[in-house]
Amino acid sequence: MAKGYVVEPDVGFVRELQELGGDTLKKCYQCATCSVVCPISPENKPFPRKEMIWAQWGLKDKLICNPDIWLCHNCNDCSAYCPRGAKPGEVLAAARNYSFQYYAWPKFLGKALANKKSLPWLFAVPAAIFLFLIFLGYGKTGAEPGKIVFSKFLPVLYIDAVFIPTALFAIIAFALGLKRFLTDMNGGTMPPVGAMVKSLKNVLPVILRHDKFKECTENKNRYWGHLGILYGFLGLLIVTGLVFVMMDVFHMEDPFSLINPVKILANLSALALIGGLVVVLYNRWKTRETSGLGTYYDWLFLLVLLGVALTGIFAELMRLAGIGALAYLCYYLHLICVFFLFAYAPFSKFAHLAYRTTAMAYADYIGRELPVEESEVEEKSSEEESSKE
Amino acid sequence: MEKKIGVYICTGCGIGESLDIDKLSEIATGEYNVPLCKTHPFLCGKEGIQVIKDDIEKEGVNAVVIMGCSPRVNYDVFKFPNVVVERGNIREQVVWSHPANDEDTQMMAEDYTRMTIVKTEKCELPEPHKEDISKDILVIGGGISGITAALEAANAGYKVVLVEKEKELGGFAAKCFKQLPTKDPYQELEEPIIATKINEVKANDNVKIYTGATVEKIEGAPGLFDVTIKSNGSSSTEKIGAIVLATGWKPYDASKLEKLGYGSPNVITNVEMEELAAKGKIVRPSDGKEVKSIAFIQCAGQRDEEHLPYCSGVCCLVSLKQAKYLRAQDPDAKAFIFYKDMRTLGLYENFYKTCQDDEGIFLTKGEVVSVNADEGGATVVVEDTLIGEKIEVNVDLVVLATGMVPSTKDEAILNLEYRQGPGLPELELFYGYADSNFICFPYETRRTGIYAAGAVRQPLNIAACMEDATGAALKAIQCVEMTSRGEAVHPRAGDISFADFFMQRCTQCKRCTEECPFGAINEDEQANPLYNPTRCRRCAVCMGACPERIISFKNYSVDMIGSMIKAIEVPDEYEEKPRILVLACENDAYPAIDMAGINRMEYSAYVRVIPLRCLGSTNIIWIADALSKGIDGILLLGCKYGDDYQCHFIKGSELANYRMEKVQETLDRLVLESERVRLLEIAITDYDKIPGIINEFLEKIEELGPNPYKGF
Amino acid sequence: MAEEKKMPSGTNSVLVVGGGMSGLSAAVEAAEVGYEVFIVEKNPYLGGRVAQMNKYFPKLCPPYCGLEINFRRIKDNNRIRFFTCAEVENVSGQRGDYDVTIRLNPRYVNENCTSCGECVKVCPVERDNDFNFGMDKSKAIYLPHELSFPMRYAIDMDACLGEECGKCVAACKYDAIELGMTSSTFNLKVASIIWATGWEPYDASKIDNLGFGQYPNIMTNMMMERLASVNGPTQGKILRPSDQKEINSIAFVQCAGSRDENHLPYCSYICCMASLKQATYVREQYPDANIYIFYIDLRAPGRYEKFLKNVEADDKVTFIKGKVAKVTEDPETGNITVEAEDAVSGRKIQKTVEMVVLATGMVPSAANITLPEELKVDENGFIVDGLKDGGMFAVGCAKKPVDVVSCVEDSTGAALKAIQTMVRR
Repeated sequence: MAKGYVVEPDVGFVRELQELGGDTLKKCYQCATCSVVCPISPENKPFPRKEMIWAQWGLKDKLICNPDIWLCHNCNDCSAYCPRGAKPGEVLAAARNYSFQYYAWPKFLGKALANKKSLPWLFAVPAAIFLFLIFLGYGKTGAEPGKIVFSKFLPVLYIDAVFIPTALFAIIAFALGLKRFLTDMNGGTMPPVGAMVKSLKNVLPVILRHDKFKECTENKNRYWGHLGILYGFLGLLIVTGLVFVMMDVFHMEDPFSLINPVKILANLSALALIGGLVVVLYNRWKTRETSGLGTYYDWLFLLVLLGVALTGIFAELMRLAGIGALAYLCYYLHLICVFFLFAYAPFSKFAHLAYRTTAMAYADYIGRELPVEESEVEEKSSEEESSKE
Repeated sequence: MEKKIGVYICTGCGIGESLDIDKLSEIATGEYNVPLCKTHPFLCGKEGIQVIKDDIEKEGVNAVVIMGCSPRVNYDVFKFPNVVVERGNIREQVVWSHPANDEDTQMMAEDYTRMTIVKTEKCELPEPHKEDISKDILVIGGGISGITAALEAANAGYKVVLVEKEKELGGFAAKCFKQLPTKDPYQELEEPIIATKINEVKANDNVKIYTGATVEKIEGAPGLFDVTIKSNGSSSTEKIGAIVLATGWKPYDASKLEKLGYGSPNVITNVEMEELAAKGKIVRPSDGKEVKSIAFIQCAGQRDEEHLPYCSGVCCLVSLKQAKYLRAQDPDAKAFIFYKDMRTLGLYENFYKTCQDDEGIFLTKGEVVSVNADEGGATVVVEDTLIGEKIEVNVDLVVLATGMVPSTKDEAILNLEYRQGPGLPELELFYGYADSNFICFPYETRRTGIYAAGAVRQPLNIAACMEDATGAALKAIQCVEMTSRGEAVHPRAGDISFADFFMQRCTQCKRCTEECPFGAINEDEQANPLYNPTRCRRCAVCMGACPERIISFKNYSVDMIGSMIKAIEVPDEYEEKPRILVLACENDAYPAIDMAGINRMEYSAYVRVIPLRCLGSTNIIWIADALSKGIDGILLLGCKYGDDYQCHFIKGSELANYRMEKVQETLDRLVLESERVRLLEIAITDYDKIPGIINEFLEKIEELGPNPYKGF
Repeated sequence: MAEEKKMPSGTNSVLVVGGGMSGLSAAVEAAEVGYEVFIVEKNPYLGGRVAQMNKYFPKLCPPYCGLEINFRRIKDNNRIRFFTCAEVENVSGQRGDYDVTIRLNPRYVNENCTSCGECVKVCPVERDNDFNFGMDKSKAIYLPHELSFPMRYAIDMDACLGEECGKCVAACKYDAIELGMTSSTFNLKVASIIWATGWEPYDASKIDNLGFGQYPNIMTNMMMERLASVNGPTQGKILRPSDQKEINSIAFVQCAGSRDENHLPYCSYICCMASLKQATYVREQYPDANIYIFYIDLRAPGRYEKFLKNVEADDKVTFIKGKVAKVTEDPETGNITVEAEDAVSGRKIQKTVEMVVLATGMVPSAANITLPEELKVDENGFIVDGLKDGGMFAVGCAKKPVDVVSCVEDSTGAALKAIQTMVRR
């Protein structure tokens, strides 16, 4: 007899998925409502029905090495209509959460980000580093009492000294993780770089336009929420880069005027980021019956992001209000949050930025969403089965 | 009895406006010398009824003819104790379906008046046949169904005899390790109820139990059964009123399932799995090692023309249950279930959900392609799965969810001393199950007083068997009670008439004996038919079969219908008014004709409808009578026959059809066209087709020309 | 007959609440054993839900046939008394000795009615015919259906213009119409009570992704039964609601609002078989129509498998394992496109058909009435049976969703249980 795919359910994997947000995955009875209701799932081998049974059977290799779980944008139309309350949207999110940890390098950081108990030391690291640096620079910066100047509180150079290596570390960790990721998806070998770059170019406009978010019917305001978050974040990233150039290269002095275009961009971006986060958090609360509230892993990312935005805004507000102690405190917290975000980027949910983009590019490369021609593949449908019986 | 007939013609509901009522009265008093004939505009009202009641009381009227609405309505107001009441339908079947003040409509009403009066003249009030009967119930089979039937009957105050062929009671239910949930929320497995039930039945004073016993033979009839029970070499007899057959099932012979690996030690059936679990620990049969994984293969040898063509209904639930056994035994074990359709119907859906939640149970639809089993376990290959490709699993044990075969498939069991045979006839229609072909009357069998319950009747689980057995116990009790009152059971429930055999003219042809759908007639030592009144359903199929016409009922006889036919006025051929006789089964065809009338559908007024208890009671002499009277065509309308038969008396319309085919010879002798006699299957909802059927038949008759015997 | 106030009721009598197939069976079976039975039915006719069905599976035989026999058994049995337009208002007492208050709602037509039909001819008002689920109209005074038992008309007072019109009263020769009829109550003493309150079809408009109520060519399975019935809105011809045209294609959507925690979490048992049956209706009228059946699990248990096989043998019937979760309409043609994923092949399937039948489930009527305290219902409204020392029993679909055969078996058994309460007092 011709061999088939040998099934060895990994019950440990199933349990982990359940802990990572997919606690309802066993409820699915394969009706495929989810696949039909999903506005962005393809015609051929649509998601998330097959992912549900793979999850139930603990078939890790099918579930994790599968670009489909990243094509999902977690709109949860499927969870809203699922007749069994199996919450396929959350199960796919759990699979993604698992992937982050699975591809994480180093592994212990991947595990730490998912574990509540590690939270204290994850924060303690940047807290200590920055505290140390503040003391290190204390008195040397020429700070004038009465004037709140952040760069005098903590010299930009020190910040660069922390963040540049951090960024490099994050990039390397990403690179290693993504390479394994791509290799796994491609069945053992890396796809050609040139083709991937081309696919990336195809996919970026879709991402930037948030085309996939627009298709959601149940949670339409996620489009606005995520748009705000992404562009708010990008704005802030650009602003940070600009400030880096302005201060380190052009030696311009902070604080910058409110009508400085960079400042305007910064503030608008911050507002967009907060606005987006509010929408997203509100959505989670509203759909907690059908989609669940989400896991610690999800909330950590959202709250850190919110922390970044709020501490930044408050630092600015306190500076403008002239309350030095609070301003510096907020700034300190802000730095911690930003460090958290970037240093742990490859291991937290933030990593979706890179993973999803990569997966979407890969999907484009293999022509995932192209219509399938009428081929022998047709014959194995259940339509045929009924006439065979 | 000296009859004093009163004829009452209602002129309400349009009758008075459409017919010349005086003419009808003249026919009653003139042609038939009826002493009393009255009309009333609202006969079913209080005033109208009082008129009749007064006449009965004061004028000594003891036979009442009511010309008006259909006998299917106003049955309650036109009920007069100890009085023959016959209804002539001139509303639904005359004025509502034919033009008013029309010559043909008038002739129709006049004929019906004649026919109803003649019917009344020939009708006598039946007297019930009562004798001393036993009200004890025999239950054959001591499994959960039998025990339940016995207990329920005993708890209603009846004495029960329970016969079980094994040494212990319990049947397959006793082999169960655990039972499926029987109550809300249908999530948890339960301890088998069988042990409690066995104790209950043993402790019940009303139940006499024979174990290690079989029924050697059953003679007699409902209320009068003599049952011979053989146990441990000796025989005893019991006098029994009614019987519940609860002999359950046996597993399908899995040795035919070599393709699925049966024959190898680690491939077992669901029954064997249950026994394994009940022994205490589920271990691998080949070497006794612990079982870490099981593959359940559903629909094994079922839903398959080569094995059992049907589904056994319970195996999906049973496999889920057994998967739970494994999981309870070992939290690391895995159970795979490969199904075609997950049949956990109704509220059992909750149990399915509970099993789904178990992390060690893996379910997928799929077609099992191969099972390779040896002492070390088995490899199962499945294709067309929901996983998206052909898969393989390696397991320690394979359980084939095989099916149930009823015990009546190959054995008669009842051993009835009935001339028609020892068991329930023609069970191939139900794959051997002792079932009824009626959805509305699931307990009816072709042997009066014998009811089937449990898995011998349908594939059922334990809870359903218990429900089923309670119903069968009721039917058995109902039968003995009705028999004690001399009443027939379903479908002519309450009918106290019974068949009279004028044996002096019997030629011993045995047609009655062979054709009775219920085997009510045996044969005595002189080869005469021996009628058993308590087996009789009063359908009169025997009456129709008898070529010598020796069988009759007090209120239904060959002479009665024959006289009604002869009372029809047949115009001579020059009038060009053909006459069609319609013999209509009163169960479905007659109501359909009524409903055509209710909907004011019109059809030819040349028809004369006579309702029959069953089309099978049609005696050929009526055909001859009708044709020699000059009637041009005879249409028999009755219920469907064949595999999906509707006929409430099972064989009635089929037999009528068979007789009509024989009648062709007679017709040929009389030099008459065989198309003049036609039998059609009508459903009760075919009322919209009635006008078409009648008019089409009429056209055909008109083509053939008038009956040459007219005017003779 | 039915409206007498003084009932000779003793403690050897059973009350059956509900006059559908379950109630009728329980009643006739108990009465034939020899006990007195009362039936209380809220509709103006006996027969319940099955009177609305075209045919039963698997024999494809008409429900009227069994009903006719059961009605005859009632006619021939003095021990049965039934009340239509009646409801149970209150129950007190205990097993063996219940005191029940019955409320008779006004039918506005009394027992003089001969069903001659003169009133309908003059009635000026039309109303949605609820027997046909609103697919056609009847007059305010109407005969529920051809096999109405009792054969008596009734008035829908919500539609009737009342005494200011009174045309029917003038037309009736038998003083059968009482527009001023009011409700009344009376008491019965019974030994036990059988609850046979049956079911109602689930409101399909709640299933927002399946278009019922939005697109005219989407109907429920019960509506299809009426459409295919000879006494239905089109005299039995299956025609598209939007334009009354004949059809070339039809899709059946199984588990529509069933096995679904957003609607009815349980399986309603009969809908798979009902759709297969309705596929045969379509095939009978349209030998070439394409029929699609979208399912999750095909539930044709036991010997019903044979019926499934017969339908599967029809090569113009296609079965797809995948639930329809999206429907769209082409407004110009009224055609509906249904979408599902074929879970075995893993391909999305869109089929454009002319008509869609949603196989919706049953909701127990007991969920909407106040039941006596002794009875417990589960979270879905099904009466939980198995009261060990009780004198009340639930039967048929009041207890769990089942097919007609099981209802009758269940009711027959319940009759025995009722008898036991009287015997073992």
